[in-house]
Amino acid sequence: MKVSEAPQRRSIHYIEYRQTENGEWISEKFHADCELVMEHKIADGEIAQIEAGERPDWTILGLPEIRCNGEVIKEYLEH
Amino acid sequence: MGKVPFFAPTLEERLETAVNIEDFNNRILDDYDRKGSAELEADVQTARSIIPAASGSYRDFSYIATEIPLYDPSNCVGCMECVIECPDTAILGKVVEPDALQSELDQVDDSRDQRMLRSRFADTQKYFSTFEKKGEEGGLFGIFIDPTKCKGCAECVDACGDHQALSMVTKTDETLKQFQETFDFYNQLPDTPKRFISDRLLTDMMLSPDSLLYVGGAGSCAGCGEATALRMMTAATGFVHGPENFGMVASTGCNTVYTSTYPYNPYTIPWANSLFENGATFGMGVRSRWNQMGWEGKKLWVVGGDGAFLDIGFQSLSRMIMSGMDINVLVLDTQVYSNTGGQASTASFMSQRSDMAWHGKELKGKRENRKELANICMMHPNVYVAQTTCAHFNHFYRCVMEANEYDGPAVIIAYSTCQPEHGVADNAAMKQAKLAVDSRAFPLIVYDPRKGDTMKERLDLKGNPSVQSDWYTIRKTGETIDFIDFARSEYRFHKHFLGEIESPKITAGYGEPSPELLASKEERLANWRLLQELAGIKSGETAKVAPVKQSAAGSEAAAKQKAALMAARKARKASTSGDEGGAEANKQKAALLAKLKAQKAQK
Ligand SMILES: Cc1ncc(C[n+]2csc(CCOP(=O)(O)OP(=O)(O)O)c2C)c(N)n1
Ligand code: SF4
Ligand code: SF4
Ligand code: SF4
Repeated sequence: MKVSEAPQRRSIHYIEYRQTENGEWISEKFHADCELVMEHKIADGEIAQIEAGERPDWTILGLPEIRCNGEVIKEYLEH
Repeated sequence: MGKVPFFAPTLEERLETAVNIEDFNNRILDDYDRKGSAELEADVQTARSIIPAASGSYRDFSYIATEIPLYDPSNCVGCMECVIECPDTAILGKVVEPDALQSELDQVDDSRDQRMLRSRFADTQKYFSTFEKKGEEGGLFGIFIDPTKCKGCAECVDACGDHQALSMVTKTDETLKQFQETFDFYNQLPDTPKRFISDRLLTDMMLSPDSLLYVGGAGSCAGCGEATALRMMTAATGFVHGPENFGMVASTGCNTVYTSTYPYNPYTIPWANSLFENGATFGMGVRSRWNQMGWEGKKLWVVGGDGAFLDIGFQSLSRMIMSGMDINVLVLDTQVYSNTGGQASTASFMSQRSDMAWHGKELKGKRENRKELANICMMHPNVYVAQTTCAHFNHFYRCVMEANEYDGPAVIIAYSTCQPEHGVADNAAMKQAKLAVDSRAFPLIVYDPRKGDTMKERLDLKGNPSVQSDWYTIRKTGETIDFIDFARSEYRFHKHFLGEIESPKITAGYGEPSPELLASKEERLANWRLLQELAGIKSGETAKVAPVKQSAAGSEAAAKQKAALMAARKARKASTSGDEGGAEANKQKAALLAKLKAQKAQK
């Protein structure tokens, strides 16, 4: 199959923030079944919120699950 | 006796008495929502079935889907493609000046809500940095979802694609409320200042309120390709000519059903429904009257499906073109009668399965070639003709704008994905339309008589990939896309791929293509080569247009395919258990029968 795979639904499962070995932060959006991963560009102030265990502002709408370095810091719908 | 509304002496009076909007909004809409239509009293207002403009904005679809798009502002580039492609006007963009945003935010009490609302805006290069560099104040761009209009099709997510700024998220009563509050905030903000809407960037059009002439609340299926085409046509016309200079006539079909199911009207412009067969004739009547009233400059669009314009209303369209009247036609080409359950039309592809062209033992989908309305229209004198798709939004917008500028008849045929009849996913409208073009199923065409005296000068195939070649080859990967790839991706062709494997559920789309489908591929190629020849890309000799019939082309290909299948079957038999396997199966069957016999005897 080339161009004809069924389109994916792209529903968010969770958003992950991860600090790499060189101290840099990256963030990714994992979609249902985790086959699809999208990059999330980290905006100013987001990491400070993550480090304080808070929900990043942009996720207050929709309240998706947030993970930081593999741990769930905010469940889906948790404020 | 009171006033008889339609015979009121002046237009103003007639309009005033035709429908009482306040009563409509307060009583009829309310009663429909609360009690349903059966409870409404039959009075003049309801009996006349006039639906005030934009009443669709009151319709609430939030109960339909389980998911809603979530916007990730820091990934957004402000391309507006999500806004363009949404069939339901459920996702909108706005640019605001920072001070204007701040003053609205200052009125929000809760600081968390304030942060949430502020985070909806991105400082994109397009609307912020570029303006700052010019020494002007940059604007903040945001995307907002109207939860009452969103049907959860996820088309916007696909439109956003590699920008990765949209994903779907499961919604709950609580988050739905948040989405509504966010959308209310969007509505409170001032309109996008004109300086941010570039005339050169057609994609920016939908930032202007003059373009949002289709407000949603229509009952089309989630992801419907037709609805996007209607939105885009109305946007491009309203943006250039003003919403007050524009009216529509619609031939019966899906489009009239979902845009005029009482009491919901998604249009803000005057609109009338003709019969299935006579949209073009109705349009001629409207145009004549408008011209009598001195309204020559107003734009008139007649819309309808392929059934309406290629079949039952074909001669009416031809008549309209010959009249030379300044009327634009938009054909919503779903290649079937979508509204009545998917009967074949003359626009259906050869081998496509539909009602009236079933796929079974004798008949393998439609036998006839696809009728090419664009080609036929081009042979009428002095008519602008285009074939386009919403996925090619710049092409689409340009065609609509050119049709509006053309002083005479114009016909635009828009490929329209129809989820239930094509058998594709809700978020597949754009993807399938793109594939239809890439695979030569539906080439992009612009035929503009203003461009010159020869066919070659008038006909433009720009926008089709690998325009010199038979098929499109993706340069990066070397893959070739042809009609079989397109057919493979849609359920309406799935029976042509069953091949040797038995369960249709498992094998849909996977086996080798059938001889009938291969014939259809040849037919598409013949159509493409004809266009190449007419556009002067290839000479008649190199274009080699051979007449294709499903039966003839099919039989040759069928013989080849049959021989190949037989050989494969033989080889498989030999390499697996072969005769031994058969003997073993027979033994098992005999034992089972004996056992059943014994059980019966015991009883
Ligand atoms: C004379 C007549 N015959 C049949 C119908 C029933 N009918 C209504 S819409 C329709 C098919 C419309 O197909 P098309 O024009 O392709 O539009 P689509 O629904 O696909 O958008 C039919 C057969 C009718 N309204 N009038
Ligand atoms: S999910 Fe569909 S209806 Fe909802 S905003 Fe996106 S494109 Fe529009
Ligand atoms: S399509 Fe994506 S990147 Fe473009 S405006 Fe919409 S959300 Fe932003
Ligand atoms: S049946 Fe097809 S054309 Fe009709 S509303 Fe549904 S998707 Fe659109």
